[in-house]
Amino acid sequence: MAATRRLQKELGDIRNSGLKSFRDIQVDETNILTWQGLIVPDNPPYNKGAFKIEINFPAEYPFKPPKINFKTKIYHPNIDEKGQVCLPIISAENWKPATKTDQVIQALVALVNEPEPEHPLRADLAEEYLKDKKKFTKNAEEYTKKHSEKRPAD
Amino acid sequence: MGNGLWATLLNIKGCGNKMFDFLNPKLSPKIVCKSPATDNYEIDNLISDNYVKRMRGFIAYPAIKPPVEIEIKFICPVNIHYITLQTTVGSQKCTGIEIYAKTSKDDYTSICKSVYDNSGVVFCNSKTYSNKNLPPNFKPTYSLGFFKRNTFNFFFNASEIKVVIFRTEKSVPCLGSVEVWGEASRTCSSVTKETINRIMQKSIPETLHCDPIQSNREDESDELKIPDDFKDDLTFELMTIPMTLPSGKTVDQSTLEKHINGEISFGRKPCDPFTGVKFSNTLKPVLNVALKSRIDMFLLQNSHREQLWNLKRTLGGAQRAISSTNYGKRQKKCDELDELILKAKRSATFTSFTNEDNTQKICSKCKVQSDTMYKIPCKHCYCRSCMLQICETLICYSCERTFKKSDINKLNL
Repeated sequence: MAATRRLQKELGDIRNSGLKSFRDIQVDETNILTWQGLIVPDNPPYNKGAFKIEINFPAEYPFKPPKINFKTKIYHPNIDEKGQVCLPIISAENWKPATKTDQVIQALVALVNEPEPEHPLRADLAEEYLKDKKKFTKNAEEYTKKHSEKRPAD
Repeated sequence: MGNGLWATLLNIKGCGNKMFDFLNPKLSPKIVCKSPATDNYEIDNLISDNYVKRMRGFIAYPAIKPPVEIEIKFICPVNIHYITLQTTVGSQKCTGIEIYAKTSKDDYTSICKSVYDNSGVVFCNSKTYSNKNLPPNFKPTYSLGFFKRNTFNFFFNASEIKVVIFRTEKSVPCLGSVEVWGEASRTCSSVTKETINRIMQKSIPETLHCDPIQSNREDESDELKIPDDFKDDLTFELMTIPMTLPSGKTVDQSTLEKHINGEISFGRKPCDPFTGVKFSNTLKPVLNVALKSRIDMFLLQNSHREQLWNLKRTLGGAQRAISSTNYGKRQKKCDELDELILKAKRSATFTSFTNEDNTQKICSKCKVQSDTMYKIPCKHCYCRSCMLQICETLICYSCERTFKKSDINKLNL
C-alpha cells in the first residue's frame, strides 16, 4: 500500500516532535490508516478539556486527503453534532499531496482555538458567537465541562 | 606435498626450533616502499591482519617503472630458510626479483636474484632444499631459486631484507604476497626465541571480522537502510524512476502520474505537487539520471535481500519508461476542456455556478452584497441573516415557494 511508508514516517515525526496540543496518538498496529488522538486546546472556552479525534486516511493517501472526526462532543460553530469538521486544508479540491498530517493537525487546533463563524457548520452557534459572545462562551464552557475528556496532567 | 611436509617435520626436529613466517602480522613486521601505490593496493596489505586486504596485495602507482624497492624489517634477526613471493596481482606480473639482506653489522648485500616466467618465485637455502627436496608448500607453478652460497652470513642472520622488483611483463610493479620462513637466528637470546614461540603458539584465531562469510552474515542481520535521497519525497518509498520537480523535490514517476490524474479530475492542469506551480515547457519534471543510476546500483548490491525482490524495476530505454509525451497530451485535453467551457458559457442555456454572475452576490431580501450566500431551489439567494429569518417559515421571500431546510446550498463566492 502506497500510504503505509509515508504514514509510518509521519507518525514517527509527530510522536518525536512532542506536539503539546495533539497527544496520546493511538494507532492500531494492523491498520495504520486510522489514528486516534487527543486535541488539547489552549484558548478559552475549550482550555478546560480535551477532545478525542479520529483521523481516517484513505488508501490512496497522500493523493487523497484524510478525514477528521471528533469523537468527543464539542460546542463549536465549525464542528457539527456528528463530529464532522469543515477544514479547508483537507477539502478534496484544496488538498495538496505535499501537505503533512502535522500541518493538518495544527490547522485543526487553530480552528478549535479560534472559531470561524463566517464559515459555520452549525449556523445557530455561529449566530450566537457573533451576536452574544458572552453567552456563547458560557455555554461552551459548560458544555466542555460536561462532555470533554480530562486534560493530560503536564 | 607429502614429501615437503615430512621435510618440515625433519627440519623442525633437526634444528630444535620451529619455522615461522616472519611476515605473519602477529610477529609485527614492518614494511616500507618508497614508491607510491595504487589506491587500495598499498604495501601494508602484504602484512595486514585483514584477510581481504592481504589477498588484495600490492600494486605500485601505474606511472611507476621498475625498479621498485620494498624494505622489510623483522622482529629479530632471522635465519631464513626460504622466501616465497607471489609476483602476480590480477593481470599485473613481475618477472625479475632480487633480494638483499642486511644484518645488524653489515649493509644490504644481494643474496639471490632470478628472472623467470612463472606466477611466483621461491628462493631457498641450497643446503636444506634442492630440486628433489622442495621447500614445504611449494607450488609447481612457481619458479625455484637458491640463495648465493657465499652470502650465508646474511641469510643466517638477516635483520632486514629488501625485495627489488627490477623486471615486469609490460605491467605495473606488483607483489601478491611475501612469506619469509625461517627461525630466530642463533644470535638471538633464548628469551627472544621463547617469546616468538609463545606468540606463535597463541591460537588467536585470525580476527573474525575479516572472514568474508562472517561479515556477510552480519550484514544480513542488519536492517536494510535505504538512503533518504533514494526515497520519494511524497510517499517515502524507494523510487524506480526518480523525477526532479521544478521545486527541487524528487518523486517517483508513478507518484507524479497519480498526482497529475488527481489534478485532472478537478479540471486543473498538471502542476508541481509541492508548490502548485503549473508545468510549462521550461518548468517541468526532469528524469534524474544520476540518481536513477545510483538507485539501480544500490538495488544491484542489495539484490540478495528479500525486501527488495518485489520492487518495480524498469526495463528498456529511458525514453520508453518516461511518458514525457503524456504531459503534452494531458495539457491538450485540459486546453480542450477550457475551450468547451468557454463555448458553453457563451451559449444561452448555460447556468453559471461561479461568481461571474454578480446578481448571486446580492441578497434578494435586504439587497446587501455578501461573499457567503445561501441558495434555495427556486434559485433565489439570501444573505445569512435573511436566510435565518426565512428558515423559520421555510417559504421563499421572493416567490413564496416552499422549500426544505436540507435544500439550502451555501455558496462561497
